This record gives sequence, structure tokens and C-alpha cells, in this order.
Amino acid sequence: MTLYPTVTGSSVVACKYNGGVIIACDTLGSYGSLAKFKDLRRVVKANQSTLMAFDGEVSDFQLVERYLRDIAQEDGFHDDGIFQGPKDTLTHFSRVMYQRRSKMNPLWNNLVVGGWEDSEDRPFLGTTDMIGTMYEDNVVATGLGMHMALPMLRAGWREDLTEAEARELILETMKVLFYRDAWSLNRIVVATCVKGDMKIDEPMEMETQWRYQAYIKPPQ
Amino acid sequence: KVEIDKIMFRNQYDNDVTVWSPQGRLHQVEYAMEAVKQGSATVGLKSKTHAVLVALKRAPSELSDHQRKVIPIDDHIGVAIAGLTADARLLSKFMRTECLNSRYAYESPLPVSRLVSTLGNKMQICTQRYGRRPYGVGLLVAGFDEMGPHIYQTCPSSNYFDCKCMAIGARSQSARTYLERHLQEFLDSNVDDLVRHGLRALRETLPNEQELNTKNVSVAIVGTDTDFTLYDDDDVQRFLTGIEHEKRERGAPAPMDVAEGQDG
Repeated sequence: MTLYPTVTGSSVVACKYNGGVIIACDTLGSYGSLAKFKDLRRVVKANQSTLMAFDGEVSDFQLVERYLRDIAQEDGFHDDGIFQGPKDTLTHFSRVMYQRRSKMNPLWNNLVVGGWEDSEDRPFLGTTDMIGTMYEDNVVATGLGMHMALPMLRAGWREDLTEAEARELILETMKVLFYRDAWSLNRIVVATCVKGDMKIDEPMEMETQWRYQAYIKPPQ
Repeated sequence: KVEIDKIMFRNQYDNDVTVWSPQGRLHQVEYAMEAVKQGSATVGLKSKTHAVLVALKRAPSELSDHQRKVIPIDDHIGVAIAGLTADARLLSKFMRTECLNSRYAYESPLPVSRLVSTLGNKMQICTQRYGRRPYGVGLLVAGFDEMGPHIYQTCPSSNYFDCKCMAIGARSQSARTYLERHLQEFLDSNVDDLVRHGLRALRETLPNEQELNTKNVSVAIVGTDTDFTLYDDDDVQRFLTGIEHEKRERGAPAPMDVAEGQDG
């Protein structure tokens, strides 16, 4: 029974743009307030056309990763060219989350699912929380990101956002989260998915500004 | 004497589906396939965009209604049956549940090939378990999904076949002959022409004195922008009008129905 999480990831931030989706998270695995694991990858390839990112308990997501592998394997066994898409993946896992909450043993994660929905020829972005609340939207964030990143994303979002513009918007929110979220890191991973192609970038360090007089020479 | 011996021995090995005959056959399965051949004919065919079923409904007596032959399974799948109606009802219930579960778990329609292979696996169990018997019904599954329109044939042997078009049931060989002859025309047909081809094929299975009418024909269509739609009674008239004045193709007598050879 998961009563409280132990090793946790912080916010996930994501949005759709013209022709794809972009998802970002930092690479920190916190052990309470100890910044223990500095290279945790919180965005993964769920299947051929889907990215999944998480926040919350790391070990619970490791189980989700196993489920993802098993599902992809089963699809491969059928050998009929039919694979799960992002919508199938999100719906399926939100039912799993709900089932676990009903057994009073939740998977302590918020999952963000983004990708290219082949059946409708459009980008897909949605999320489910640890009790199975599922929804789709153009902009999505979890944890503290819901409070801090989402308003910024909503203000800056347009239907015809280019990838570069979306990346800039996401980066701004990640910077703000690093400044304000005490359990965050300035090392982030950005992932994108367009029709027929998925890319999870190598971690990058964000430029942040700390040389304020108040920090250099704190007033007595 | 050898013929008589063969028949005699057949009886020793045909009471149990779990018993092989010396010739390597499962007679119970073959007998079940016979049940399909006794059912009234039904035809399935597809174009690039749609799949169509037409079925001949039989009335057990003059007092009763014509027996239902086409069962909708989901918005994108339906089946036409030949053989034991009760077995068909059971399999339909199973197929409907599978489709519903998929819609609940994934919010998308179950791919037709996945449904048919799950059905095949279910049917196989009773060809290998003591105390069970094969399902005595053949299905023509018409469906539409991301991969396009599909026609699948299933047999009591639990084999299933992906078909361009197919006919099963009594005197269905005549229908298959028509389908083979006109195969090239189906892919680019519009829906109405496709249904007419199906009706012509179905008509080939009728004895000369019988005709297709609104009472004894079911038509079903599924495809792009078309949920599985079943037409019965008066709704069938518009399709029949297209072929009413045509002559049947039957010239030379159709070849004898050959017993389906054992699988692979």
C-alpha cells in the first residue's frame, strides 16, 4: 500500500504546437528534500507514436514502464501492424490508475501522454492523475507546474505555434519552476513528437540568473 | 469392402472431438462444418471503402417469421451467420463484449482482425477439450477500421480467413462462382453497385422457382462514414429494384459442393 511517495519527480510541462507536441521535465529525483538523483529521465517513449512523462513516485513509474513494454510486446506478437496510439495509451492507463485508487493502493504519479494520433491525423496531448482523472488539452502541466506553468502556457499558446515558439514557451515555464520550486533542478529534458518521428533530447542546463546583490551580499 | 471398412471405422472415431481418426481427421469438427452448409446462404464482399453483407432469410414454416441472419456487433462490425442460430447468438454476445471492453479501456473501436483472432482462439478451445463440441456456426464478419473494410470468414474448425469476398451456406458454391467471375469489379464499386453484386450472387443460390424479395433478404453495410447499418423488409426494396429484371447467370450447372479439405 503506497501511503506516501519516497523518491519523487517534480513537475511536467507540455503543450501542443502546429504539427506536434512538446513535453519537458527536469532530471531530478528527490529523496524528500535531498536532491539525490540528478540524472533521472522522466520522459520515455511509450510506443511508436507516443511519449509519456511522469511526476511523483519513481518506483511506481518503473512499474508503468514495465506495463508499457508488455503492451508493446503483445502488439508486436499480433504481427498485424496495429499498435496502440497516444489516445489508447492515455485511456488505458487512466483506467489502471482508477483501478489502483479503488483498491486503496494507488500508483503515485501524474502521467502526461503526448504523441501523434494516427487515427485522427492530429497531435494528441492529455494527462491522468493518480486517481484516474483523465483529460485532453492543448496545454498540460502537473504538480507545481499546474499553478505556475499553466497560466503562462495559456497566455502564450496559439493554434499555429511553431516548434521553436513552443520550445521557447516551455523553456520559460521551466525556468520559472526552477526559480520557485524548491524540489527542482535546472537540468532539463525536452521531448517532441510529430507525425512519424519522436525525439527525446539529451539533458540541457538552463541559464538562470542568481547574481543579485541580495544573494551576493545579503543585507545584515 | 475397403469403402465399408472406412465408413465403419469412421464411426469409432467420431463421437469425441478429442479423438483423431486413423486418417488424421477430427470427424466432430467436420460434422460441425456440415451444419454450416445446411444453413441458408449468405454473401459478403467489400470495395475500397465499404464492406457489405447480404443474407437469405429462411422461414421455418409459413406461420413463422423469417429467421434473422445478420447481427450487429458494434458501430463498425456486424456478422452474418449460417448454421446453429443459438451458437451464433452466443458468439455474437462474446464479440459484443469484446468490442465494448475495447471502447471502455481504449476509447477506440476494436480492430476487426483482433476481434476475429480472439474469436478464433475461443472457438479452438472446444475443438480440443474433452466434453466440449465445436460451435456449429460459420460467420461472415463485415467490419471497418483504420486498416479499411474487412470481410472475414470463420468456421467451426476455428479457422478464420481474411477474404476479398465470400459466400457460405446452402448452395453457396453458385454464389462463389458469381463472385469469382466479377471479382475485379468490386474494389472500385460504389455502395449500391456492391450490394447489387451481392444480391446477384445470392440469387444464384436460389432454386429456379424462388425469388429474392423484401421478406427473405437482409442487407448490411459498413464503411467510411457509415456505421454498421442493417436493412430489412421494406428498406431492402431499393436494392432489389436494381436487379429485378435481370436474368440469372446460371448457364452450365454449378460444380458439386466439395467438402472443405482439412486445414493446412
